[in-house]
Parts: sequence; structure tokens; C-alpha cells
Amino acid sequence: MSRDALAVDGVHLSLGGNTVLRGVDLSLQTGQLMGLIGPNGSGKTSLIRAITGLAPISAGRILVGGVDMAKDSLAARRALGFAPDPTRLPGALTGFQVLSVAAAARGIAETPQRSLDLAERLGCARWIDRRIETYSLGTRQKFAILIGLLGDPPLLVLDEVMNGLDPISSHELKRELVDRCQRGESAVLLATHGLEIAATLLTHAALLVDGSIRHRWLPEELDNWRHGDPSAFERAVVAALRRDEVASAAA
Amino acid sequence: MDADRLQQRFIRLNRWNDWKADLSQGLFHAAAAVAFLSLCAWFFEDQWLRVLNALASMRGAFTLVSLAALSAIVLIVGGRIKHAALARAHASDWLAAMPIVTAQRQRFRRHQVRQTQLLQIALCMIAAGGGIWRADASMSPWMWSVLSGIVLGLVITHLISIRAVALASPASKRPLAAAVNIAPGTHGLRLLGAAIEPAIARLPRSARWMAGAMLLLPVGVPATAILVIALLMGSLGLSIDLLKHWRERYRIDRGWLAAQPLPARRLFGAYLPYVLPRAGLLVAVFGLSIATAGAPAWFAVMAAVGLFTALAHAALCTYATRECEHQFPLLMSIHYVAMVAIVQVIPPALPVIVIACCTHAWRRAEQRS
Repeated sequence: MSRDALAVDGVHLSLGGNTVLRGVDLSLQTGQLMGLIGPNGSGKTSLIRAITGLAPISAGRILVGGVDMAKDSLAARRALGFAPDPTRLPGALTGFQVLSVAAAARGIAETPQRSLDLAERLGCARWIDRRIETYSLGTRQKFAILIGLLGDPPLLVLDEVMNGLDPISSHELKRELVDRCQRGESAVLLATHGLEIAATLLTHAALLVDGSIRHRWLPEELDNWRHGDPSAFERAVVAALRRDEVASAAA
Repeated sequence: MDADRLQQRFIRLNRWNDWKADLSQGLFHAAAAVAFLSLCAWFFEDQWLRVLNALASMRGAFTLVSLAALSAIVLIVGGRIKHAALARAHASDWLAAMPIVTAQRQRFRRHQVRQTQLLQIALCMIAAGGGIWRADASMSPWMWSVLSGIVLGLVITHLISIRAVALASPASKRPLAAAVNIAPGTHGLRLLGAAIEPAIARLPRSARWMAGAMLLLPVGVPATAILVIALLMGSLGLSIDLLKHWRERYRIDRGWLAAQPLPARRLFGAYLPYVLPRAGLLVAVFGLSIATAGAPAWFAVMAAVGLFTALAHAALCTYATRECEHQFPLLMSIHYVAMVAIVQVIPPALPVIVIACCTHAWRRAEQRS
């Protein structure tokens, strides 16, 4: 029996008295690349914060690699790689130093060569000995991605990581994520607004609206669109959102 | 090495390299700081010795125990505040989602708090020490009392901080900005000033001033005096916090309006209709509290004017250093060194030098426009 890289069961989350997640269910197995899509304020970032253990959930259960995040957050976090908000990276450190600290946090003695190679491919290796405070948003984003992927965790949780990336880095990152999934090294949960990315990259997709999953797209549907009309996925998402708006208005 | 310590080591290493790379500026800053501290020591030496000689006569057991308790409480409360601030920062920093053992980060926080406390104690000892050795009366009972309070405070801080700090979820706390109530019809740049938090929202940040003042009150002080002290420290704390909050808002607003065709003077002036009345009210309460405490009217007026001038001067220095914020402390230090030096040589010329410093800040700000 294959164990889920991620299982989210009936998760509720309240922030400042507002319910932002209402019984979210998701599961993700190694090799799958799931897109989390939804309008602004739908709860994508809150769900990601809950999965990474940064926001305590009020009900439900989150299992990362079979480990309950609420019961053993350390073991769960070992199985999870998360790209932090690039604006939160410490500006006083260099890119290399940040990677060293992240490696130490994961219990790795040295920054892995694979991370340095990926830095080369993403075009940020030449910045690696400069302070983060001197970086552009895109370069910060690349280092945040390197932190998330460092140590090859079996689950990658990425929130809008394509923002600010130049075309080459964006292409290299997509290739890296697809490769990791195809080799069966990782499962990837990618929150994104970029539907063109979603249509070409994902094996699964889920639409989050108002704190709950309203629609799921299976690999066959995504495959059909990928090989047929590339804009069909965008139309399907917009149609699902419109249906939801009508249903909400009627309710 | 654990991640937090490694990060701290890298930050120190980078600072040291920065300092080495710009040795002349570093030496200039150090020299300015030493000059300022020497001037202050010279200025306050006599008063400090007088205070110590007066205090030396109070050697009752109650006084000494109170002093020990006060030292311990200051350390414990300060340590607790620092520990909670670090825990809040750790809960949302870039390492928050990393697989780091909770106890490891707690240990690092305890280490940080202890380091800060030892540094503060050492600085206080150095500052007070010179006077204590030169006081006419023996200060030994006071020294032992303070030292025992310090030891007690350090031990209790350590024991308390072993327990994890219970943190409210950042999102469950009511954001201070929610307390901002903008009058209907406010529009344009005036909205920037109107978005400054009201005193009621900033009060918790100033509460420590009042708490500190209350701790200094001897037993048997009448209730009216306590009220006056609360008003005095409250207005002082809120005034300083108003300035700090405005500086933060100004920095943020400058950032997002940087590309707009907006003259610097207009942006600076946008806050004045809101900041000036509030500062005026707080300064008036400050002056009235001093007058109510029994000080002569002229002294109360001078104190109020002094506070207002200090706030205005800091605001002008912020305006002058808006493009290079790191120069703000340097500009303030230079102005204060000049003021202290003038007070030593020709005290009546102080208003002139204050006006000159404010004018200098204003002209510098206008030159950069």
C-alpha cells in the first residue's frame, strides 16, 4: 500500500475569529504534482501554512509522510520542504550562508552539491556570496526555492514560487519539479494563480474557494487539455468559479 | 552547530567584515559615542555623587530588601519581555517551518536573553561604579542588595524561561491598525496622517513606562501622587511612542509612494495635522502633571516646551535622513553632543543651539528634496 506524502483530512482553521478553512480534504502521493488554485483570499496560503505547521488548525488532521503534524511536528517537517516568504530571508546574510543555515536546520553538515547545481541552473549562483539585502525580489525568490528543495524532502510545498522568476529560471524550476516527481522522489503541492503553468505542469489540480475544495481535476482531464486546447483549463477554472458565485448568490 | 547559532555567527562575521571594510567611519562613530558618553559623565558626575551620598544614609532593612526586589523584578520582567519577543519572532521567521527541535530554539532564546541581561548589568555597573567608589559614604549595603537582587533575578528568569512561552497565535491578536478610526470624508494625503494609531491602541506599548515609574514609588505615597506620576509617565511614554510610530509609518509610506511625483515636503507635512495636535495634547498633560506634582509653573512650562522641542527635533532629523536612515542616530548624536557641550560652557545659549540644530536638520532635508 502506498503511503500518502500528504493527507489533509477535514481541516478547519480560524484566524482572528474568521474561519478561513472549512473542512479541507486533500491527498497527494509521491510522484504527483498538484496545483492549488483559487481566487485571492480563498485560503490557499492559510492551507499551506497549516500544512507546514505554521498555523495551528482548529479541527481535522494533517499527515505528512504518514506523520501527524499536530503530534510530531519535527518528524513531519523533516519530510517536508517549504520555500519561505522571500521577504523574510535575513538580509544580513549571503545566499550561501542562508543555504548553510537551512542545511544545519535540516541536520545536513554542508550545503548539498545538488542545491548548488540548481542555483547554477536558476541563474543565482553568481549572487551566492553577496548579501540578500542586495538581491532583487526574483533572486530572493530563487534562494527561497533552493531552501525549500534543500535536502530532497519527499513533499515540497510551494506558495506562488513562480512570482518574480525570469523565463529561464521559471523553465528550469518547472523542469526540476517535474523531474523530481517523475523519478518518484517527491510530491509537490504548488499554490498558484498561473493557470498556464497549471495546464502544462500539473498531474492533479484542486480549486479552493472560500476555504473549501470546490472542484478537483484528475490527470486524465488535465492530459486531455494539455494535448488539445491549451486554454481549455483556464476556461474550466473560470466556469467552476462562476458556477460557485451563482450558487453562493442563490444561497 | 544549530541553525540559530550558525545564523548569529554569520551575522556577526558579516558585521565585523563591514566594520573592517569601512574602518574610518566605524572609528568616527566610536569616537562620537565616547565623546558623548564622556560629556554626559562629566555633566552628571556631581549630581550622581549627591544622589549616592543621599541614598547612602538610607540603610534600613526594608529599603535594602525593596532595592533587591526591585533589581530582581526589573531583570525578570525585562527578560520575560525579551524572551516573548524572540519567541514571537521565531514563530514566523524563515526557519519556522524547518525541522528544528523546539527545545533547541528555546535554548537559543534563553541564551540570547541571558547574554542581553549580562550586557545590561555590566553597562549599569560601569555607569554606576565610578560614582559608587568615589561617594563619601560607604555604598556596600546598597551594592550587596543590588547584587543579590541581580543574582535572584537571573536565576528566576532562567527558571521561568525553561517553560515555553505561551504564545497567542499572531493572527488571533487584534491588529492595532484595526483601532484606527478614520473620519468619513478624509481623503488624499490626509489619509496617511489619519492612519496613525490612536493613543488607546499605543497605550499597551507605553505601559512599561508607567509600570517602571510605579515600581520606583516609595511606600506611603498618596493616591493623588500616584495618579500624577501615572499621567506624567503615560504622557511621556505615549509621546515617544507617537514619534516612533510616526517614523515607522513615514518610512513605509515613503516606500510605497517613492515613485509618485510627490514632493518630500508635502509628504512630511501630510502627517502634521494629526501628529501636532496629539503631540500638543500629550505635552500639555506632561506639563500639567509636573505642575500638579508641585513644581513651579515656569519649570513645568520649560519641561513641556523641552519635550515638544525634543520631539520636533527628532522628527526633523528623521526628515533630514529619510534617504539614508542609518545616519539618523549619528545626526541625533552630533546634535546632542553640541547641546551638552553648550550647556557646559554657556547654559543660556541652549535655546540658540537647539534652534540651530533644528534649522540644520531642516536645511539638510530641503537640500535633499
